Amino acid sequence: MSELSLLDKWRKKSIHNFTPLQASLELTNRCNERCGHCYIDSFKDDPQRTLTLEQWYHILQQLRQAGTLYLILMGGEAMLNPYFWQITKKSKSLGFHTSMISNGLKIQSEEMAEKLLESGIQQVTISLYSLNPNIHETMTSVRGSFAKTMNAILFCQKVGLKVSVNSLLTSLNISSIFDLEDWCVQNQLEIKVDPTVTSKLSGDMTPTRLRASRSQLEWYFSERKKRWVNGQVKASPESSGDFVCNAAKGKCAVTAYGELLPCIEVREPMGSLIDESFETLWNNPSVQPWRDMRLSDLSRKSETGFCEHCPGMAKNEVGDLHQELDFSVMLSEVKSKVSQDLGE
Amino acid sequence: MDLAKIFKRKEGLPWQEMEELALVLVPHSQEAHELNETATFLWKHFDGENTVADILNKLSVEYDIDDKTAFTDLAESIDLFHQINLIDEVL
Repeated sequence: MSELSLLDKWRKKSIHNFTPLQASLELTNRCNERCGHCYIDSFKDDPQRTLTLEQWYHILQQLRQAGTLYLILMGGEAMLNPYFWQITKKSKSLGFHTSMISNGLKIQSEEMAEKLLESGIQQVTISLYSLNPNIHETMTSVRGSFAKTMNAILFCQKVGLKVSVNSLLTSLNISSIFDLEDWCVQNQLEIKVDPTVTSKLSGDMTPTRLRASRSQLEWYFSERKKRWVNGQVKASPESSGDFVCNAAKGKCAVTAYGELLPCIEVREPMGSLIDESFETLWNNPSVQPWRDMRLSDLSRKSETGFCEHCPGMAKNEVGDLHQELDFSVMLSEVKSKVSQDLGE
Repeated sequence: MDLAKIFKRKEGLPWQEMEELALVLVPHSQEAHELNETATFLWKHFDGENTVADILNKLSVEYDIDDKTAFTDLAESIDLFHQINLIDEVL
């Protein structure tokens, strides 16, 4: 069996068994960039609520016992957690596959990249928005961040770390997105371009003003299809069979304060992993609505065959996890239209 | 096979167990191996502490098999784990 089909088999098995094969850890809310599109309200941690190293170890051990294999360290900027290196080493010794999402600003030497590799980081996903420094830095609000992020990519590649690029697609960077995609392909970097800009966790909709418009999205998906052999328009990968998504089934997330979430997008804590065991929280009946949600439960405004609904985003923006958001409907309509225009 | 030998899982290989089967990832070659139930049992005991003799005893008890069968199974498994580069001998 090929690696991909084997991993897919395990992913499906984890969804069926409610085994959190993937866990995202928000190690901190602190960040050294100030991206206008970010969902985090304040780039600060409440010192009364931050976790000790022993508490992070306790969480890692519980996740391991619960069946987690893939650990994603994120933030804020994950490397600003004071225990970052101890957490990565512990993750390695426990047998996790550990990756991290970073802006790269703390990876400014080959030695630092080597240290990441040795500490057990298997993959680094770097947030890069454009090859145009002005566009990238308009999005991060930090002068000089473009050069540092590019350095980080090169240092990580040089020491043999697997590197990929995440790029949020917004009205600010859409004009230069294909230059970035071309560059990534030329440099053997996987790139994921995501047009979904979410509101802040408080419900503040300011970041969503940066969303690309319908015509911009139509242009993007049409061009992508023309340029890339594998550029077919696809639905978001979250839905699984009849189910809307994988939240609280094959994945979970943990906040910087140790609260267990059904998914990084679903900001309704199931409880604190410091006060209660993972098993108790994971088996609590209150989680069931997230697990049970099927496509047929949605108040759908369109039937395009491309489901772009994210229950967590809907709950945060309109208070109803079943309500399809206007943006999700637009995205599914755009994908459907482009797919039909190109005769797929 | 020397019964005093000790084996350990190769360092830095991510793995997890589900329904008594283990998935072992080899990141640098982007390979993944699914181990069957017996191989998973052995994999968990290649901890750098158990000797081959210790594992033989545990295998016989766990699967209620005679020593000769256990020995053959373990020797074949160690060969296979070596071939796919998943274990190291502790010197």
